[in-house]
Amino acid sequence: MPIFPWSARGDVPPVGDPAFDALLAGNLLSEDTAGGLRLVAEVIAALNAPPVTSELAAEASALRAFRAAGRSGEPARSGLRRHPVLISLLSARLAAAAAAAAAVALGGAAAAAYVGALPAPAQKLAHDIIGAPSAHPTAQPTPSATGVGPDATGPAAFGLCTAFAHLKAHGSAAEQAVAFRNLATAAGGAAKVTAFCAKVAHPGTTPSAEPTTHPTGKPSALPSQVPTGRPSGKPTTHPTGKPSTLPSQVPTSLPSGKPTATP
Amino acid sequence: MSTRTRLRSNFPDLSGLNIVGSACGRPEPVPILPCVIGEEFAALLAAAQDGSEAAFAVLWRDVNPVLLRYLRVTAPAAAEDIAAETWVQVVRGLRGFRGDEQAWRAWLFTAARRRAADEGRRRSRHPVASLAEVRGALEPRTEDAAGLAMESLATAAAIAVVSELPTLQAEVILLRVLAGLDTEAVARIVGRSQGAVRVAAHRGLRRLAQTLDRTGVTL
Repeated sequence: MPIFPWSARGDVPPVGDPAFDALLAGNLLSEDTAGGLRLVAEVIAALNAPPVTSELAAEASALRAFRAAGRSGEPARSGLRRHPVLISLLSARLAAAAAAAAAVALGGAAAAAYVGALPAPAQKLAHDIIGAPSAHPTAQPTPSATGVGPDATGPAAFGLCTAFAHLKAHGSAAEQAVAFRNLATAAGGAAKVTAFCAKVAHPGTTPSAEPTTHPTGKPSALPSQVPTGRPSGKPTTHPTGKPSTLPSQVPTSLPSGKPTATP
Repeated sequence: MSTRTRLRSNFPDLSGLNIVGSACGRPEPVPILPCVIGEEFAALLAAAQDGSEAAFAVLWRDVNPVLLRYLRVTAPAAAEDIAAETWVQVVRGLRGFRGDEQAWRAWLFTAARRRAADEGRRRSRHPVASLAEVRGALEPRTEDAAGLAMESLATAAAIAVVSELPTLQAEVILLRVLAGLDTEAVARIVGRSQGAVRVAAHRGLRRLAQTLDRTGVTL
């Protein structure tokens, strides 16, 4: 078939021609298509040229909007388990979210403050008063607990120890298991959890070497409500969730020094 | 540049065309519509809905330029603003979205179209003015300045010439060939029957062909 020159005149099909359908469907025209449609095909190809810089310039603000929408707390899909490959990609984010969820569920706002998972203004308050980790802009307190549990080797350790001790007195075996599992891993064994928690520093202070007392040493920033170690294992008051009453939730069963029973 | 639309020959020869794209399931022959996400879309969507910024960035980069080009024709004075507002709405509803890539694009363009209508659509009918306006907004990257300048000029010219069409014809053509939506989806978005959409698209293509033919082409 002859190749039509670019400047061929005429040969524009009437409305309804199948060649139009082909163009609209994104299909290449055959070689014997009229020149007029070739130009239209070029226009379509130009419309689909790769993006230029200015068309991608707004990415940063789009990502900001995406993050802001994530913080507004809409419930997440539960479809993650269908995509195991993505779990490793998201594990860092999940650990933070799970730490927040577990901390809030297990130990109240106190532990949440210690893992840095409170909303920013409250976190800042906790940071200033008791030395909890400072507000992290990417923390997501969405309760989407997956059962993974917080990583006990990181800053969540203190919160975990706190929460775990509280659970030994009040919680169920299942709840203990989640906190305990990661503590045991971090500590190097079930029998070492007590010693591990004794050494875990209160965030913002130096670690204490005395397991028989308050496991975080004597942080000078705390108000005077610090309880002394008691072998009964019961905290004096139930955690209320306010940062100003945090010290009452400090674990009291750990100073016994005995290996804890595995759940 | 004169008032005539010029299309440079930097386009690949159509007979040997091989534009890469997963084609969204379209059959052979080689398509001229890129559909860059394709099979990975479902995984990317799930990751973005679970909070992955990286996945969302891929989705955004894939469709934002397309959205902008559509808006440059249908709402040239406010294209960037409307696009940004559309994304704000979309990220808020992201976790509730269910659908494939076509449904995703349909949602985006429906939202953008409503916003454009809310702000009042203004379309330039002067090719010179619209070409200059569009060309100013499309700046080539520096690595291959000559080639990319040609490409961005070609895109600007294409947008300008489509802008000359009556509103419905331009919209329908863009939603089909730029957004890659099928006739049924386009009909829903513009609120017409599928038959009316097909007629408008054909009329628009015919008018385009006549315009290009009339104004002449230089290589």
